[in-house]
Amino acid sequence: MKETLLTRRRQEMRQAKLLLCELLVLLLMSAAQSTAWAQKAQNYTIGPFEITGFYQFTVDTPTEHANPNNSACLSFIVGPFKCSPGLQKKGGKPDLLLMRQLLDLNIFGKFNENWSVTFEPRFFFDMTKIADDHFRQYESLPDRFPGNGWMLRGGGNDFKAEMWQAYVDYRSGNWWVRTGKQQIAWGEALGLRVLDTVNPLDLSQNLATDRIFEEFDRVRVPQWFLRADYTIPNEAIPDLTAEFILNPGLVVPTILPPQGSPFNVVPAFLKVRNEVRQGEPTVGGRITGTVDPVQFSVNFITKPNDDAVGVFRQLLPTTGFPANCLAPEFPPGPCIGLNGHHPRIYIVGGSANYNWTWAGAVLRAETTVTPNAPFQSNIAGTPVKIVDRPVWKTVLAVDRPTYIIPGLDSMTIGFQFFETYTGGNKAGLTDATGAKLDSNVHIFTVFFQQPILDKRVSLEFFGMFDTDDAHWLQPVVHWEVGDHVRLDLLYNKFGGAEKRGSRFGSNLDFVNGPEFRFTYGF
Amino acid sequence: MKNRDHKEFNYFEYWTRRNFLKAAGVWAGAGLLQPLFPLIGAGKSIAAAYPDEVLSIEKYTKGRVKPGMVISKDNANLIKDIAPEGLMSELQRGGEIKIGETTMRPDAVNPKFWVDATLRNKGQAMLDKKGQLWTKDGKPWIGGDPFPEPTNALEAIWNYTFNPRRFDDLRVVSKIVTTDASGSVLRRDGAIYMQIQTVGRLVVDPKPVLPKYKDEIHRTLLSITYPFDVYGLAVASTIYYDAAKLPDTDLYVPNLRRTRRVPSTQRFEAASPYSTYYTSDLDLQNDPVLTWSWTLAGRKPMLGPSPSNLGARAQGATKDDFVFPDVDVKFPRSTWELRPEMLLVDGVPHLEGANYSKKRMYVDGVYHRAQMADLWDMAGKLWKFFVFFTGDCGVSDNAGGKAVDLTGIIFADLQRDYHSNVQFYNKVGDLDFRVNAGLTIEDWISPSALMRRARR
Repeated sequence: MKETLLTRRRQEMRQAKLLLCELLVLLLMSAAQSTAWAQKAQNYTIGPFEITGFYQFTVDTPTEHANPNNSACLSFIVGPFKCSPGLQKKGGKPDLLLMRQLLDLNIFGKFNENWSVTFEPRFFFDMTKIADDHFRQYESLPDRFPGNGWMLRGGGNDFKAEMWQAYVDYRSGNWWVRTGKQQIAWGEALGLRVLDTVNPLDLSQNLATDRIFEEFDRVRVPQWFLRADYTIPNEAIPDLTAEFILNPGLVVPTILPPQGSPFNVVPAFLKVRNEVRQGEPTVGGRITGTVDPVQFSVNFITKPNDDAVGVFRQLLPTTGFPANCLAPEFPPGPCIGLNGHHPRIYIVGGSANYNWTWAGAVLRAETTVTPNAPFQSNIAGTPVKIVDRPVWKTVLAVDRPTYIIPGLDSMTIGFQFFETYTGGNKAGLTDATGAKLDSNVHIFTVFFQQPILDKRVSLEFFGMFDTDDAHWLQPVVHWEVGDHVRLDLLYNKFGGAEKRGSRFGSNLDFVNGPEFRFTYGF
Repeated sequence: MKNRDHKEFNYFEYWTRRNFLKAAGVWAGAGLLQPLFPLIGAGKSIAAAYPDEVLSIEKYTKGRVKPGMVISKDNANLIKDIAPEGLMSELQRGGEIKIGETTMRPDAVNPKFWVDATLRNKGQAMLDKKGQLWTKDGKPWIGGDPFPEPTNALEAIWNYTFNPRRFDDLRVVSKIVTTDASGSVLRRDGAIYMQIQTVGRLVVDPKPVLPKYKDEIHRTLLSITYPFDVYGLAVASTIYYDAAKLPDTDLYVPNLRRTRRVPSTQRFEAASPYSTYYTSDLDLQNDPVLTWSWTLAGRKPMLGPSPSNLGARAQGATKDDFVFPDVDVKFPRSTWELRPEMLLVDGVPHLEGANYSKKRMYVDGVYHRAQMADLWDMAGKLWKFFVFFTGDCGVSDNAGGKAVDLTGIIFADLQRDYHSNVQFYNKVGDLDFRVNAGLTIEDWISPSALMRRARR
């Protein structure tokens, strides 16, 4: 009886929170609609500051099964086994992968032609675990690593506020200097991290499975950088520009979903302690320019590796550490503690595009070499040390708008071929996800975007195909309703026989399912 | 004196200036008719160049239409012989215009420095066998109208498209309201548009050509400020001097945080949801001249928009004023006047994806500037009507005069009955309208400049 009352009380609290959320949405919408500026195609301004932004409500639901990582246990007797509900409160497929409200503001202040500032605060309210009782409490948007204060993120388990970007721009003549917390994106490839590796990714909310058209904009973690560009006056190469970037050592690693959360990618029997060493600078630069009809870039960067490369620390439980990796009420069992290291890497590379006017297409190429990419060296399945191997990544791509359906606008068609080559002896080596290495990995991506109904609706399809039999498919319907409302309905489908952690195959099929987004912008 | 029917005023049949002068038997000094060009050089009005009948709508229509008269669907038939087909369609569906006096100043919609250059450089332009414009010594054109007395369609179209805005550089701030058939607002867009001329420069050093960009004719930048999801999107176009070559296009995409080169072949698609215009339609003719073929369909007196339509710059204007007021209605009112000579230049596109069978550009024989166009679909049915209002913007042109530029645009889709009405402003937020201001390509319209200037 007491339990029933408790359950009812929890349900009432959950309903009250949901009601509060809905009221918040209505309040925001009515506030935005009632202001004159929203009606006049003019952005809201206060003094020199212009404020734009959007509110977004996201619901992402699974269609396949529970996340196996949350119930991946280890036994001294049988080895790995499934221990449902594991890190979940209740076994079985959850009802939700993500239910979230997000308010993203962009505050742009221009003081004169030389100086401007930009602030981008974001406010999250993750309701997943309020609305779905399959989950225990976990921290949404976690940032548990040494030196995390520089992320300017705070809040509780459900609500988080952060200063996503905050930077000052100075422009004068051939100089442009941007200082502050910022995203830096390099390269030609879309959705593939070849040259676009300056910033780490925050994968903690839903990996990077949002609408692919938005690429990494919402998850590429802005870091504290000095970015200085100088356009070199010369007669031979138009727009020849040298760029220098420096992060003095405020390191942010790849941020993974917390264990127990819907998108968790770390098996429950692993405990990874992120050994982020603050003070390790990121330094890089590039030269960009045009030698008609080719635009090019030559790039260099050195930084601590974003992904934690795990090395065995200890087997738990140990004396004085009675808890296992799972929840306290779960039967004790062993788990493995790893130290997540971020060794320094060096990346050199370049990119180019060619405007092939005869074919009405743009060709793109991008390549990098990392001579010392870190990998785990394993003994009896346990990572014991880090070794370096050279990695060469190459992307070839072509974009061509093509008239496919008579009477409609052209379809944007993008095709990419991506090869990763890992050199040296790979026996006993695994990558940061614990996956065995191949010498060559080949991936094809296709992207189609067909506008219909006066460009109000956009039908999109993204497909990523790994030749080792893994695929990620994402059809999207994007609907623009007037000036303020945007609706997205998409479906993520991972599959194929390939199950290794670093590949996009059936290892991720637990996130298969539809996602709906309502966005109100201003 | 015999009263002539107004149809006799068709220039092809009777009233071409050459024929008229031949008929009069004199070239100058007769006090009745003279070649237009010397009059402009002498700073005189156009009154002496044309017969009175084509300078007064009252005389031309034998008193049926007078200045000050409001034309609507009730009396649109009065002007059907002197109005573009698109304007007639607009009036029959609820549009209203007022008739104004014919503007006699030859520089009413062209800046003085442009008119001066036209006079100064007369006779120096030629077209090669492909139709490409050059000076007689084989260099890019040096500014002003290359063909002050155009004899064919290609010359007329070059007069306009060589530098449609006439300035060495400009930056305009605009807002676009798209309405449906009922007049309901479907969408609002905000944009900054910039153009930097690389050849034929007349005011800002270096003149007449930017040596580094001598193979181009101009660069343009369209930067979107509204609505929220495209805020910060910037489109930089490099338009080559070779008028048979498509432009290069670079985008700054805020979501991608970097610039991206894209094909420039998507020229006949709506620029944004609901909108009635294409990339091809900007400045009335935004495709390189030689990607279309051109014929001269006629010359005759016709209605044209008056320079008194100041749009959002008309202080205190309400929806009742005929100045193309800044109001959210389907048919903002405007003033039109009889223009003594209009060249009807028909263009046919030869680009992949083109869905127009024909565009008729109405090039004013005095200004050599096109301010309106009719467009037909592939079935030959009238589809769109565009009007580009031009007038005194009230700010300096940095060459000793007032800036004369666009004050409003109507993009009308006559088949759907949708309108995209564009208003221009002298200042919105931190952005102001400016011309001949020394804007540079390195600072504004290059891939690295797109990054530097990104607002998101």
